[in-house]
Amino acid sequence: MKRFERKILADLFKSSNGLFAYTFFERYKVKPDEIATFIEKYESLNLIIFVENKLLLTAKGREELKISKRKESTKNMGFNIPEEFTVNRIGINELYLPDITKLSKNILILQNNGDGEETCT
Amino acid sequence: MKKYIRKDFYKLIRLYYKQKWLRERKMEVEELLKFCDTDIQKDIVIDLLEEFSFLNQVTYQDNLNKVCDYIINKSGFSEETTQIVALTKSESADSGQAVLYHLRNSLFGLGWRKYKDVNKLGSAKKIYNQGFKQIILFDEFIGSGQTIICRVNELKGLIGEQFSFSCCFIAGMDYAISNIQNFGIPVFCPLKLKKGISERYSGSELRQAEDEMLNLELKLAPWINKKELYTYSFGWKGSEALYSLEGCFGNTPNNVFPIFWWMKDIRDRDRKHLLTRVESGF
Repeated sequence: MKRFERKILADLFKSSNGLFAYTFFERYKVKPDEIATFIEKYESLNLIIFVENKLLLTAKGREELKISKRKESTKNMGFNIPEEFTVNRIGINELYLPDITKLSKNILILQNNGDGEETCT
Repeated sequence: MKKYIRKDFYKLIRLYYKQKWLRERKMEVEELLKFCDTDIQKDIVIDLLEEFSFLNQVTYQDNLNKVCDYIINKSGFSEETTQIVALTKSESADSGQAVLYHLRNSLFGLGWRKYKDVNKLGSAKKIYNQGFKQIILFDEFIGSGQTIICRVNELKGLIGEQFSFSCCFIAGMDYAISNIQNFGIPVFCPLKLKKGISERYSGSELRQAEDEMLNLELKLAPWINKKELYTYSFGWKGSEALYSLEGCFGNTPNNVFPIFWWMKDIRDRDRKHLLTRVESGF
């Protein structure tokens, strides 16, 4: 992925009504042929649409960007969270049952700290 | 950094989106738009480019395959008695010979191996006398139809007796194909094109588009050596063609609007022309 593509996708993610293609020329000096290539590439992946000179993320595009942003932010924070834990946020008071078979062994080793309390390391 | 006007920016996006090949010729496209004095001229040029048939390796091969299919399955000709003749008369390298060479490969792959390919019209009689009495005349492009009518008459004179024949082209102007069919010449052409302006615009829009194209042509050099622009106004014989083959596959036909390939402007300066035409005498 080219740098300007990343920037355009990030801007589209922040916008709710899409952005005019010319905006990206003004912001990042992206030329018409580059925009055309960008549209062709991401339209074929069903991530964006180009309507009346505006670029918009599709529902699929928004969802995929949400996932990739989440991955990126956890990576930047120094966590390497396995994919199975990066599910959608659960609602308040919603029942959550962790799938124990997917937890790593390290997490499941119970230690006795000597104060009668068992903790996970 | 080049500055774009907002509306031009959107026109260019649509153009580059539709015509991928132009993304490799940005400089020439922008030069061409700079050559235009008015928005209307720009709109016409962009519209013509959007309509342009520029065959790349894949689309060219696709059309070659259609010609092969016609020859093998629909012409009614037999492999043992057919000769395929390039519509070439002169000594110079020619697009008819180039496409015949490419067709040879495709036909071979499809199992046609006993027919004869002949790269010069003048040799057809010799091959005819060897028993290849069904003749297919083959060329890349039919612009006005004038050449094919002349060549068919020449061939008839050369052979001197009744023989069955057919003509095949990769691409051609629809009106020219109808014309030569009216002369009783059987034609197969997988890619039929409309005239760029007169068959796509009507009424006042047509008059305006013609005037604007003439104004653009007036900005080109009226002569390049001994070649006069007037002869090629709106393309040879006013064909108004919007067609070319990619790279070394072919030469841009002179039937294409000269604003796309004429090499010099009115001040005799070299232009960054979008398409290349090898024209003897340039």
